[in-house]
Amino acid sequence: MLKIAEHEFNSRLFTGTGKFSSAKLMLEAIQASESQLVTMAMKRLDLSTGSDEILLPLQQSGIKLLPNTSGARNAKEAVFAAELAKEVLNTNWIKLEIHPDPKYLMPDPVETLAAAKTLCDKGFVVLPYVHADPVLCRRLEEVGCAAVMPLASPIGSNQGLATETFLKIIIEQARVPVVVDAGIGTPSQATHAMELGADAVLVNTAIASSPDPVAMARCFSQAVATGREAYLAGLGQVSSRAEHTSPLTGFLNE
Amino acid sequence: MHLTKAPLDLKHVSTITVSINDQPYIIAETLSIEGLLLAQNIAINSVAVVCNSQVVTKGQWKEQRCIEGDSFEIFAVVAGG
Repeated sequence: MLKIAEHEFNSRLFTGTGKFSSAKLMLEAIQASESQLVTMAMKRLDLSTGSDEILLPLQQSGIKLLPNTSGARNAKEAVFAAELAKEVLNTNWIKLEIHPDPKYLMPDPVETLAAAKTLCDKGFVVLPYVHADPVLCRRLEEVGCAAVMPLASPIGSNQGLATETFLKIIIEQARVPVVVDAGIGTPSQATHAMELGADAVLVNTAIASSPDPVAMARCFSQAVATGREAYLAGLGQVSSRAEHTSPLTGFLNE
Repeated sequence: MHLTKAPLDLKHVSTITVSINDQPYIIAETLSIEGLLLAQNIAINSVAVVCNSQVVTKGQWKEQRCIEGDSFEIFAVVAGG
């Protein structure tokens, strides 16, 4: 069972709530994913349209809500966003994300580390979204983050595990859960991340942008469970040459 | 004898001007923050309120009165990854 801070999760698939064509579809997909933690964002309310009608059904579902600081351009704004999220959702959990660059949404490591320290000192359970940088992940762990969330590839890109080499190092070194976040585009990529030993994966776009998000959510659920089981079972060694699996006795000639 | 200048408000209710998310609103001067939210049909369980760059916690919404020139920012939870 996955444990982050003192909270236990049966499912190792976390999901985002963005980009779904309707709130109804989003809720159905999350249910199909069996996810027990979903991310949400904070935004200035548009008084003419009112708020999204997603909060109440999600709260009623009993799924843990993880607000993010998306939109924050620096540590100060991220800390402010976390305070707002705490006020609305009555949670001290925060997905810390600071990505001022609009084209690639690359997380700013300097601001993220500064914000993480401040938020941890204030008693938040901080899950920072970062580049797959093993050194940074260690530093975030040292300031008290409850998990680290290195990216597989750019947010929403569906490019898969572009950072695999570095994810392996992070997984090897981490003493807090590693949640591979961003860029996972297919269930097989989620399986692969779990086979590497990731503690969980976070998927949003790959589910939300599928023509059948509910079916895709189910596929990701199975994929993550399979990857975890394979990791626990232990993968075989990779060899550069063939290793025979049948006896080589040449019986036809003997 | 000098007459006191009559209030501008025709309903004889003193009003103030505040801004909510950069838009000006004329409201009764006795309004609390909770009253302000309700008057705007804002679902009070799903928002956070910032007044003049300071977060106002839910516990303060009933007591804290709006004053002339207050700048409110209202934030809500939305879908996101």
